Formats: sequence, C-alpha cells, structure tokens
Amino acid sequence: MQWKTTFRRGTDGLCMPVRVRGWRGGGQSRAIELAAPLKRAWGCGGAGQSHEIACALCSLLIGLGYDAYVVFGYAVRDVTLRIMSRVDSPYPPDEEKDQVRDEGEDNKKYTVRPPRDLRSKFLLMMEQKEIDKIKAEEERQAELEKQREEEEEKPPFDELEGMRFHFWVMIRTEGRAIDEVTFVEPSTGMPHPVSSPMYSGIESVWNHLNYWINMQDCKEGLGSIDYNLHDVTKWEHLLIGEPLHWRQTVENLQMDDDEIALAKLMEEKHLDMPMPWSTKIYITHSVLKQKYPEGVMTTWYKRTLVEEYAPYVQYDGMVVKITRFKDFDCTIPTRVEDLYENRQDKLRKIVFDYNTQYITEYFGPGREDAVIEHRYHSKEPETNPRIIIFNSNARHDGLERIEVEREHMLENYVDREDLFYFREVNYARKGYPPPGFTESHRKLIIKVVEKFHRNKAIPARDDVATREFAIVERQIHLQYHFGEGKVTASTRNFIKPAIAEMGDDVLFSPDVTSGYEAEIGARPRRQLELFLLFQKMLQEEEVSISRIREIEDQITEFVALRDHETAFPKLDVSLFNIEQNEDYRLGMLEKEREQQEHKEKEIEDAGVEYLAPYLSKLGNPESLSPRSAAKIREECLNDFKQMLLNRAVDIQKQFEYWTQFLKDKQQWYSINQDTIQEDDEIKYFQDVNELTFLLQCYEIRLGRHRDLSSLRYEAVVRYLNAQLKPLVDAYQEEE
Amino acid sequence: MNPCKLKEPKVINNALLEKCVQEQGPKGEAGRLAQIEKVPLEEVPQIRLEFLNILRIDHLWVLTSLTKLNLNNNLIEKIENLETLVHLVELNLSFNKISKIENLDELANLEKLSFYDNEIEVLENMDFLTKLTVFSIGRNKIAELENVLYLRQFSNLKCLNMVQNPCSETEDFRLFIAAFLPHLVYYEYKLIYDMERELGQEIFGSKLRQLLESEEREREARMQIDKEIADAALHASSFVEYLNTHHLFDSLFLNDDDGKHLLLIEDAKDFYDEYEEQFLALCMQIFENGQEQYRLRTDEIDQFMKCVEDAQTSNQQESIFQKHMEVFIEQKAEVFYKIKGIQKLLNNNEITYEEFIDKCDVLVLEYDKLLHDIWKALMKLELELYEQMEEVNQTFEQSITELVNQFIESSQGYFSQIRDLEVSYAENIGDLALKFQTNATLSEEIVVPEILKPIMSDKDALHNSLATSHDVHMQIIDAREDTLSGNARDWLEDLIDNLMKNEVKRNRGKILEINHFLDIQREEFDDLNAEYAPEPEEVASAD
Repeated sequence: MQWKTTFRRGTDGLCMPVRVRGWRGGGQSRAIELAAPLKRAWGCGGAGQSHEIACALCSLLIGLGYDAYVVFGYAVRDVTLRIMSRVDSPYPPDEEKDQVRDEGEDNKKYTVRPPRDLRSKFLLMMEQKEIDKIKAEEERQAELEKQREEEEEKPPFDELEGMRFHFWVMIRTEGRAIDEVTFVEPSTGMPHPVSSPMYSGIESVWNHLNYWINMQDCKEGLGSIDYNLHDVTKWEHLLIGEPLHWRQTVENLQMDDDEIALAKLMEEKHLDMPMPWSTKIYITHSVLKQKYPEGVMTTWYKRTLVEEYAPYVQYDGMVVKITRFKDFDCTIPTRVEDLYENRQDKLRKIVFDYNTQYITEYFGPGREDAVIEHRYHSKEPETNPRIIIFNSNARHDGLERIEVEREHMLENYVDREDLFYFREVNYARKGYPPPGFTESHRKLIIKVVEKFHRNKAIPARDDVATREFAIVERQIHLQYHFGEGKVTASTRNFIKPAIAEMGDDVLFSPDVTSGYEAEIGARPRRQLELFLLFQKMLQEEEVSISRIREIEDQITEFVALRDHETAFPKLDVSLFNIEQNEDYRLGMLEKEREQQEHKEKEIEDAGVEYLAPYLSKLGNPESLSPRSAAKIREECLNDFKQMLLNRAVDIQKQFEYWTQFLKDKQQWYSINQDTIQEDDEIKYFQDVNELTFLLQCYEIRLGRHRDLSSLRYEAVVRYLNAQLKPLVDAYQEEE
Repeated sequence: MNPCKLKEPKVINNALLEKCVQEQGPKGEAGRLAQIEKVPLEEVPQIRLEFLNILRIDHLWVLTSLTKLNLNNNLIEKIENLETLVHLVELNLSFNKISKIENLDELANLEKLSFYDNEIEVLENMDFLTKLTVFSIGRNKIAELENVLYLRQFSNLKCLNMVQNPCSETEDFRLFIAAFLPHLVYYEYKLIYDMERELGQEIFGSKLRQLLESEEREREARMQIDKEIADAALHASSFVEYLNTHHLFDSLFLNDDDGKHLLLIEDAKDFYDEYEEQFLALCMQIFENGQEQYRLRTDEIDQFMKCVEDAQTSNQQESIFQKHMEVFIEQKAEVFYKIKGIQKLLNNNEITYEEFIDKCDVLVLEYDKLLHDIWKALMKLELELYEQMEEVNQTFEQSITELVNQFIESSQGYFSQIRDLEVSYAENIGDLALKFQTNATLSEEIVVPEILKPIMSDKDALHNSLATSHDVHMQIIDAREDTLSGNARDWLEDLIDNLMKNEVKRNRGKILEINHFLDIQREEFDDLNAEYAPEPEEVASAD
C-alpha cells in the first residue's frame, strides 16, 4: 500500500498525461524516438501506441530511480483496447461510517443479573424461526443477484484470446524501494500485481541497459514465473554482460585507479552505440498543467462514468464528475458526485442522489458562516426538510445543525456554557393562522421547546431540563431535571395573563401557576420565587424568539448566498499560478508596460536643451531665418568644440601635474632611501601605488575622450539639425 | 424634631430588622407578593443597617442566610455576635468606632470586608478569611508597617485600601505594598503597574528576601506536619497506622522500667538490637500487607459502586425514557385535552349534562387505568432493582468480609511471629540475667549497676521482674493486634450496615416518590373535574 501511494504521487502530472485518448490496439515496432510519444500525448491531442507510451513511462520511472522495464507480451482484449468498463472506478462510493463503540471494561463480578425473562420460550423460538426463514430467503436473493451481476460482468468471448500483443511496464525491486515486482499499465497509470489476469504472456523485457528474452513457459500465468533476470536459464540477455552494478568484479590489486577504470571500460565495451537521437523533451508549463489532453478525460468504469478535468478548465472549478449507475449498461443513474477545487466559497463536493432527489453540498473549512454540509431537496426545497450542518467549533454560538421545514425547525448546539443544546420551533401553517392571530411576513411561531443539559452545580429541582413556550396558548411549561435515582421530575406551568394585562409589572396570583415537586418534603416554592421565575421566563421567551428570528434570517441569507455562489462561481487562484492568475498577469503586463514607458521617457529627457541659451539670447523667437539658424548652429558647434577641447586639455593638465608629483616623490625617495623610517617607507609605497592608479585612470579617460569626441560632435550636429529644422520651417512658412 | 432624639443610640431588634427588610426588599409586584407572603427573616439574603446609631451588633442570628451585611455609619465599638452568619460574603463595618479586629473566625466565605474610618491599630485575627478579595482599612490607626505583611497570607486579595493610616503616610508606601503583596492588583482602587512592583522590589529587596526565606522555611515545616497527619489518617483506614515506624516497639519499653534496666547487663544490648531489628521487620510486613489489602478493598468497593451505579442508572433510564414515564405524560396530556374538550362542549351547550357525565366516566376510567398501569410498571421495575441490589449487596458483603478476614488472619500470623520473637527475647534476656546474677554473686569483680541492684537482689525478684517485663510486652502486642482486628471488623460492620440501610432508604424513597407522584396526578385530575362534578343535591333530586 505504501508503495502504491508513493507511486501515485510520483505519477500525478507526470505519468497521467500518458493516458491517451485515441487509443489504438497493438503496436508495431519502429525506431524509438522518446520525445515523439510524449509530444503527441501532450501536443497533438494525446495519441500514442502502447509501445510508445510504455517506453515513455518506463523512461520516466527509470529517471525517478525505479528499476523499470518495458515488457513485450500478450494481454487480454480489454487491456489492449483500453476498455475500462469492467474495472472498478478509482473513486469508490462513500461508505457509511460504522460507529465503533467503545465498550468499557466489563467487570462481571457485581454486574446485576437481568430480571427474569417471563416470556414463553416456545413462542420466542417460533418467532426466531420465522425471522431466520426470512433472512435465509433474503440471503438467497442476494446470492442470485450477485451471480447475475458476475455473469453480466464477464468479458465477452474473444477469438483472439492470448494473441493480442501489448507493451507495458514492469518495476522490479532493485531500484527505489517497492515490496514486490509489479506491472504498471501505461494506458491507465494503474499498478497491477504480476498475477493479474490482464496479462497472459511475456516475450521479452528491456530497458536502457539490456534486452532479456523470456525462456520460461507462461501457460501457468505470469504470477508463477521467475522475474530474477540474473538467472540466465530463465532470461536470456541480448547484449553481452550484465549491467555493471549486478556484478562483483574482482579487482586486480596491482593496478592503480586509472588502470582499473580503463580495464573496466574495456571489459564493458562490446558495441559502439550511436549517439542518442532523441531530442530533449520540452513540455510547456501550461500544457503540463492541463493534465489531460485538452484538460479533459472521460472514462467508463464499471457502473461508473468518470469525467476528470484539470483545475481551472471548468469555469465552476469542477475537477471530477462521477456518475454512478445501477446497471451494468449504465442506463439508470443513481448518484452524481461533483468534486470541486479552488472554489472561493470552499465548495468541495456536491452529491445528487436520484433516489431521494436530495442534493448534498460539502464545504471545506474557511467559510464565514462555518457551514460544512448543506442538504436540500432538488425539486421542492420548500416542502422538504433542509439540513445545514455547521462546524460548531468555528461558531461562537456553538450551533451544530439546523433542520428546517415549512412548519418546523430544529436546532442542535454543542458545548455551550449555558448547557443549552436543542431547540424545536413549530410554526403555524402558512395561510392558516391560529384564531385570534394575524399573519405578518414572518412565520408565526406556535411553540418553542428548548432543552438543557444537567448542570451538576445546582440541585435537580432548580435545574431546568426542558422549557416550552407555548406562544399561541400563552403558556410556559418547565420541566426540571431528574434527580439521582428519581423517576419523576419537577414541573412548573405558567399561564400568561392576557396581553392587555401585560404591563411592566405583571400581576401575579397563585392561579397562574401550577407544578409538581419531585422532591418529597421539599419546601414549597414561595410566591415571590415563582413570580421572579415567571418574570425571568417571560424575558427568556423574548430572547428565544428574537434568536429564532435571527436564525431564520441567517438561513434565508445563506440560501440566497448559495444561489449567488452557484450562479456566479468564483475560483481562488494561487499567487504563484502563472496561467490562471489573471489579475496577477494583467498586473505584470501593466508593470512591464510602465517600466518600458518610464525608460523611454528617461531617454527622451536625457537630451539637454543645448540650444536654449542661444535662443534665449534672441528672445526665444517662434521661428528662425535660415541665416540666423546657421549662425546659431555655428556658434553652438564652436562652443561645443571648445568645451571638448577644454576638457581634453584639463585632463591632460591633471595628468601632467600628477606625473610630476610622482616623479618628485620618487626622487625624494631615491635620495633619502637609506635614512627614512620604516613607517614613512610604507606610506611612500602606498602613495606611489595610489598615484599610479590615478595616472592610469587619467590615461583611460583621455583615451575615451579622444575616441568619443567625434561621435559626440556628430550627435550634437544631428541634434541641432533636428532642433533647428522646425524653427526654420516655421520661418519659411511665415514667409 | 429634637436633634438629640435623632442621635439617640439604637439597638437592633426584630422590629427594626423587619422594617429594614421590608424597606429594602423587592419593589412593585414582587414587593407586593413579598409583603403578602412575609419572607421569613432566616431567608433574607442581604440587609443594610446604616446611619442608625447602632451601639452594639446583636440579634442578627435570626438572619441565618445573610450574604451581605452593611453596618456602616453606626456607633459600633466591638465586633461580636456575627458567628452565626457563616454565609456572609460581604461585610461593611465602615464609619464605626471599632478598635480591634476580632470574632471573625467563622466567616470563612467573606470576600469583601470594609473597616474604613475606624480605630483599628493592628491587623489580626483574620487567618480564617481565606477567600478575602477586597479589603478596605483606610482611615484607621495602623502605625506599624509590619501589619502589611499580615496580608501576605491572603492569596485571593486583589484590592486593598489603607489610605490615611499613620503607616501609609510615608512616600514609598505604595511601592512597599507593590513589592510585598504580589497578588494584589489594585491599591487605593488604582492598578499597580509592573514598574511600581519592580521599583518596590528594588527598594525593599533585602527585606523581601529575608521574608521569603523565612516564609519558605515555615511552609516546609508546616507541610511536613501536614503530611505526617495525612499519612497517619491514610494508614488508619488500612488499620496499620504507625506500624511503619518505631512507635510500637518503643511503646514496649516505654513503661517497662525493669526491662530497660535489664539492658544494662553486658551483652543484653546485642539481644535488644537483634530483637528490635526483627520486630521492626515484622511490623513493616504487617504494614505492607495492610496497605496491599487496603488497595484490594478499595478496588473491590470501586468496582461494586460502579456496578451499582450502572444498574441504578439503567433502571432509571428505563423507567423514565424508554417506556413508562414519558409515555404516561403524553397519554395524560391527551386525556386532559379530551376532558377540556367536552367541558367546552358542555359550556357551549352542545351536549347535555348526561352525555357529559357519560363521556367523563369513560375518561375517568381511562385515566384510572393509565394510573394503574404506570404504577404497576414503575413498581415492577423498582422491585426488580431492589432484588438485584439485594443480591449484589450480598455478593459484595461476602467478598469484602472475606477480604477483611483474610487481612486479619494474615496480620494475626505476623503478630504471633512477633510474640514468638518476644518469647525468645525474654528467654535470652532471662538466661543472660540469671547468668549475670550467678556471676555477680560468685565473684566480687563484677560491679552491679546501682539501678539493677533491687532486681538482682535475689532470684525471685529477678524472676518476677523478668516475668513482668515479658507480660507488659505481651500485653502491648496483644493490644495492638486487638486494635487492628477490632478496627477492621468495626469498619466492615459499618460498611455493610450502611449498605443495607442506604438500599432500604433508597427503596422506600422511590416507592414514596411513585405514590406521591400518582397522588398528585390523581388530585390534578380531580381538580379538573371538580368544577363539573355532579352536586350531591342534584344527584339526589335526579334520583
């Protein structure tokens, strides 16, 4: 199992693309050009022969460190034609999780004996017989059904059985760790045990090291033959010698390393191989991300249709659509499961059940409303219960589940500090308000029942277990918790006075309340206590009702939100996703454009207004006569020439000055060489170094100045021509 | 009004209390109800007796459930007569003339205490107020700074006010408080900052360290004592208290002067040492055996308790939820609904009275049957449970008795070994003493210690004293053995008695409950019908 997962991980996105669409059976040998099948698989709509894709897969596996081989042999029709309808789908149906109950440690010694069973043994026996009979009948039916299914699933007769040849991949255990020799079907990417009935014979296997011919009889099935390629009696190899690492060469101790290497090389040299002719494989990122040819793959598995999409191919983020059928011919669908990825509303899965007509949506963590499951009827969501399950840990009110129907609402809570855990609300039927009540846009509440867990800190007689606000009947019923070992619990009923009498202070009389006290001999409750309790309950009723209204609003809001999310699905795109992150891409383009513009602008701005001082001398005229233009041009060029000259002279002067300085220094040194201190000597050499460097710099600068001067001059000439031309043109126009 | 009359001292009496209770009680409708009902004084939760010129705290014992008491702005000079108010959480004695804190030991629940503006000089007598959270002692006469240290013991104390005391006039008093009362959060109702605490610790560092060290020592000593007491209690429940120490052995020679004197004989000390060693080893064995047996017994009891609890819970569940009670409640509601229905019909004159009576009769019968059924079912379940409990109790009794007997027997075995040891020791000492005596009489060289002289005077005396010593030892050993087995047997008897008693009590309680419930149900039903019951005269006339 461990191996399988590693392998699947290794193949995701790598081997998957090898799954092909236009699958043609068989295969004829032709020169292997590794890049071709890959290219075809990705580039040209994904076609390839079993030989090519087996080679491609094998190369990939070898590249990943597995000890892989291409196998040439025979396979059954379904494999060679890639018919998957007799194979279980890789998406097994969800199974109901069995609750494993934790049976506490039994201590038999003091366990009480169950009360004696006084029922007639004979009658029980007869009943049991009856039950057994029905069970047996059921079992028989199930058996028949199973047989029928098996019959149906049997592959049809194939007259070419055992003659259809095929290429697939074998992985042996000597490379990256796997448990046993395994076959991999390249057309599906699925691993199979060697005993798999899919393959019926092996002619030969090969990889980049050698070519082995099978010398064993495959009649007994491939599970029984030996895959030890070292055994020459079972596997004859084509090239002389075994792969290097299979051998233990005894080294001649007298030779040095180079000689050993050479000897080894010569020992191995049997054949001069041509240079590899396969071009380097290059797959663009976007194609790789597509996962399947065109990003879609549809496969008919046994009673299941699986449509797989690469992420972001579907606008709503669907990646897998699984349709399950009842019958083998796939005509009666039972269930549709859509799996989603990257949804902004955290939708992960939608299941539609054809039998119940119920849609169930599953969400991942991260929704603001903490919904994790949402179930509703597809056709009549109003009349059938709608169930919303929340992640109660993520909600401050501990709400775990809501079930809402037209005249009913159930709420479950967990882990609340006030120990409240359940509320049931009954509504009046729409259009049939109870007498004396008028309907508003809100549903009319008839009754609210709320339940609490036992609070051990207060006695049972003060700990309310259930409170019922019968709003239409204007009553409040309280039931307290059962005391330890008690079979009765205290109760308390209040009758609310008519609305007209409900002021700030309700008048209280013993008539409005009645109750039962489970605790015998307990002090009867005082009127004052009862009144305070009554007042508290009246407040609680109001709080509860407002809370119910809030929940109703939340449900309505949620349903509306879901509608919106379904109608306009939005996908999350990772920051690093180049292809799909549209915002990012646009942003990048925008940035690039800006940078480009900025650069261009900089270049434009770089130009100095050489002409400005000359034009300003003339008072910045709009136009210039050709003569004055020529004059300005002359002046300007002269100045520029002068400047260049000055600069050259300046550099020259500096250079000479510092050369002289250096000479002086050297002279001083040669005179005082014998007498000067060590420190001064060090300083002298440092100075000399610096000076030489400086002089070198001047030399280079001078050289560059000389080289660039003519270019600069020309540039200025061009510039002046360009600048003056419009002015001259303007003058001529004026003329 | 006469100003003197206004200032006239008063005493607390019933009338005053009642007046205050009424004035300070609930208002409005609740107040009306309270007045009608007259809430008894022993249920009053709080009362304010302020500005009343009360001279002496008295007569408050009637207010037993008082949690909050305000006695501020009176003329009280002494704290007294508050012992009964054990539920008190808040006590305000500010603006009085109290000069000494006293008589508060019973008020263990006290959280807020105010002595603002009194004449107190020393903080004392508050050791039992472990829950103290807010304490105000401003405007008093506390002069010694050391008084603050008294407050260190209150780990819950969060808020303190000591303003305007002689000791708090110094500048860094606040820092002193911050350093020495690390649990305190507010002083003079202002938050103490970490900075202040650090500063305080810096200033008073050396003193603080000394204090901490001495407190640590005290605490260790106290813990040691506590542990010993707790151990003894634990060992007592396994009936082998002090057998892991020298206690028993030491008691052998405690009142045995002759025995002690005989040890002065040469070589006797060797026997004594050997005896002591073996004796202690045996004691230790008894002790360990006792501990082991104690564990076994506790396990047994735990198992038993768990099973009993399971049985009772499942029985309760069955009677309530699975079948009976809930079903009954539903059916009852149905019958009541029907009755109300036909009553309404009668009121609207849609049916005649005869028809009503007929229908009522049917329903009455139905209800009677319901009551009978539920009664039968509940009683059956209870009977079953009772039988089950009786049986399981018997099993438990047998095995626990067996365990205790086993323990006693094994201990007795060890004790007889101890006795053997004592016998051999006595013989050894006797031989030695005789030899010594013979030698002493024969040669003059051997000096008989002065204290041994009376014993060694003649043979009879020696024999006597040897026998006495031996007897004393035997008695002590026997007594210890008797204590052990006696205690174990007593415990066993108690346990079993209680088991039986509790079960009977439970059973009676349950039966009473069932009947009480059904009576109430019947009454309720009768009440419902009473209004419409045929009046006797009418019946007579109809006849």
